[in-house]
Amino acid sequence: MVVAQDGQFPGGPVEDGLEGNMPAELGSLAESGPFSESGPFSESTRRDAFARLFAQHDRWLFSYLVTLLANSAHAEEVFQEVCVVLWREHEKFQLGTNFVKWASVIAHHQVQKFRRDRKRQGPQLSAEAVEQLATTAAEQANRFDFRRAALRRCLGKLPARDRQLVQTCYADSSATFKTTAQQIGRPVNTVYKALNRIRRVLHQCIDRTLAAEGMQ
Amino acid sequence: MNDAYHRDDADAAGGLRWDRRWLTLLGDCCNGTLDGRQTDQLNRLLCTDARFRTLYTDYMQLHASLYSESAGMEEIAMPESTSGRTGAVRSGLGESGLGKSSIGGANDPAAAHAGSTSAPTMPGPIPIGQDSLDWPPEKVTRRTASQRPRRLSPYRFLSHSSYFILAGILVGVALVSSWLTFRLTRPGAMAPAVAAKERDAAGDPIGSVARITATYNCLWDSSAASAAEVGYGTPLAAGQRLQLREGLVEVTFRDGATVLLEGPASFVVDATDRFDLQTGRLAAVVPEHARGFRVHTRVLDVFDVGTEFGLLAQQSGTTELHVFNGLVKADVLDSEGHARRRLALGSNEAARIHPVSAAVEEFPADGDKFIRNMLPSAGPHDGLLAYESFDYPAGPLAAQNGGFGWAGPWFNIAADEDSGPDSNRVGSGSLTTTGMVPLGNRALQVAQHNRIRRALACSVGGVFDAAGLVENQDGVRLVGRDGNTIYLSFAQRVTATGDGFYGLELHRGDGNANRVLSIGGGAEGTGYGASSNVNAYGPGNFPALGEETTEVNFFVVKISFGVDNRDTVEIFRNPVSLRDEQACTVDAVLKGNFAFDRISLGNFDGQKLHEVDEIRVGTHFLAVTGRWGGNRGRLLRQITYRRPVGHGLETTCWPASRGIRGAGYCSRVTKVTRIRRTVGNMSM
Repeated sequence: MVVAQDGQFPGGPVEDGLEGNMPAELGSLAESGPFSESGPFSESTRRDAFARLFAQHDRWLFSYLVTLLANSAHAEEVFQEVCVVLWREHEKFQLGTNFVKWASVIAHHQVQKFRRDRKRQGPQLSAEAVEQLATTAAEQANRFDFRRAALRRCLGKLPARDRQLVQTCYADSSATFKTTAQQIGRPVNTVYKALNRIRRVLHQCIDRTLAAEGMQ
Repeated sequence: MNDAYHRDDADAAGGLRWDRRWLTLLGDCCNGTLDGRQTDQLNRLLCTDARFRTLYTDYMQLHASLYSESAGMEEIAMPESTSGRTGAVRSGLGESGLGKSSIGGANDPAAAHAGSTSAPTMPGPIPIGQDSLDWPPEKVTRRTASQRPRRLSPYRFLSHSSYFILAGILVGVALVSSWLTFRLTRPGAMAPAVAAKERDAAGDPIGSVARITATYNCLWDSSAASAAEVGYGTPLAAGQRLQLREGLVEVTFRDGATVLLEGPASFVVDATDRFDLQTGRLAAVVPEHARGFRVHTRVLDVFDVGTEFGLLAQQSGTTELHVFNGLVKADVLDSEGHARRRLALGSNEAARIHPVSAAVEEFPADGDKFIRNMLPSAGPHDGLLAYESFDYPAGPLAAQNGGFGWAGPWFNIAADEDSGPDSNRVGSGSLTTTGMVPLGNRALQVAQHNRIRRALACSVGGVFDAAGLVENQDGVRLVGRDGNTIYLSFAQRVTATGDGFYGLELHRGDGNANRVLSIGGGAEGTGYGASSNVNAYGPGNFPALGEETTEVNFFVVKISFGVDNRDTVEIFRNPVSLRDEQACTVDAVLKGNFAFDRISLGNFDGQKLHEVDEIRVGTHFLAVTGRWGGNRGRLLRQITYRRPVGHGLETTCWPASRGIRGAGYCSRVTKVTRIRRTVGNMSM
């Protein structure tokens, strides 16, 4: 898989990661994309097009980071760093090529940097697992929008109180559910169990929805 | 992708079954509760089982998507739910109305597993939503004045059959309880003590005396046992000691006082009206009803505090007290803690007390020594489009041109001939209400034939135009484009009740006939409430706002601009929450055409003084209540990236809100930034 192999950035500088060898890296990715013929673009057109691409895929990008880090607060932190790099390097992205693939390389690299630079406390995924997930998550990127659309429909079917629990607990990705439970004055374990149940039901609902539409 | 699933386990509806141990593992992973053994198991599965990797990826994408979807969940179709205004979310068990046909069901292994971890044990379909969590707590239910709030059932942990039996018994109790609640929460009945009691009911731990209502890059001393548990929103118990190593924290006491502490600081929250500052710097705002508030330091016992003051307690024991508004009294203490001398400082006075000699130096107060608010920006931001804090010197208000979001300065429309144009003036000090941290001074009308107004920036390219809120009615550019909502907030006080007309008014052009809305007393012969000349709300049909008082009232006005100028105004008087609009009671509703372009202050007849402060106009509730937290308009987390030494610049990035489609953006700021912002969350 291209993403996992390219994500290594052999010999790349540690501080910023993408300085120096990134253009070649991105160039090879761009050429491998589905639309290799990109015409000339003015700077403003490029910037606008890049902004649209970013807006189109920012949710996927965040979910990719959550997948690789198994922690939404860490993902939030890395997400911002990825945004910095994406915008800093946006001129090197060849319009018409695969943005998701390009962004996933950068995101994967930032995850590695995050894991390397900061000794995180508590359990975390192994390096091997992260590598495997980077491949799987990038491969599954094309169905992210379908699953998210299904999720929206499934959320609409949730009972109001479950929806409100989701709304409260997922209001801030940097806050823990434990903190939220304390804020709303509910036993932490009860909130954990309720969220587990809701997620399971939503997951099941998404699968059913996509299956019914012949997409599973 | 199909071959990645257990096709053999697919149920009739096309859903897929998974090993429930896997689902539990993934659920714990999302909750952040994995222990070492589970993590090893997770890693092993991820490395060896492609099917699990696919499931994991789907599950984490779901988990991540919920963060973005939660922000827009009000827009999600909710066919079975009740609507906003009447939408008291039912809190009983088993009333979801969802069976197998929707999500979950008898064959739902997830639901079946849920049964193993929570109450339901009955055979047959298990409606989702059946578990031991009664949700939502009543505090998030929006109530109108005419609705009786429902109480949570104390029997929510029992099974269905028991629940239904007990439900009948509870009906009588609930009716009585609801009636009592209605009596207590009707307009004008919200005394501070009642408000505090409601917060208790809303879930604060019993015994908590204050709450952390805002944080700014806080770093707590890790040696304190509870450091990991302290942060934005944390309720603080009596006697709780905290050590802030770095950053800013705002603590709001139950009695209404607010202190803003700057790290490093060490302090103890003693009671609902007592605070012990051991070392550090604070700025305090004490509303009138919290006058009993006391702050203790090694050498000073500050009591009978006025509205605003600052306190600096140094490690050496030297303490400085700066009074910004009002009168503050304090006892100077000796090493034994006995009072040796009493100080009384007025506005703009300060004193420095030395610990050994108990000597007191008096000097002018210096407001710049203290951080007195946590506003993130001096211009439009986070949905706040216009702001007027009356941060002008005491004197004439006309021609003052501060704040932002306005088209020009304050302009005198009318002023009493005898008192002169300066009778529309700036008064020293702010109007204070619980949870609001005012800036500057206040507007004061001291005569009885007075009106002064200020126009909002509705011109092409102005703040409101750029926000897409301006429409053209009869050749006049007004805030009120169809389909949009505007929030307005302000603090208001009058020195006598039933004493003629006064009000904060919205106008479309000048003149009485163009008065779109007036909030106050006596307009066109009405009582205390809201009236509108444009929409023919007069004595016969005006919505009252409860009992008129001489206390400071804080109003939030929500205007929903409908199609064909069929607009709706909802007015909240002293809303119980500054964060959650849904928890607040609407005190008055008006229908009509409410597009406007200016805000006026009027005071006619009688002998009263009319005061107004802290005018905010924004696009959502939090924007005008000064609180940034929750889903909408929250201040996004900002991280400062330090470049290698030598650049002299930092890059500051704001992420795209995943609740709102759009890209983040970056800007460069000089490296003089002393405090790096992490989370700017404020709530009440």
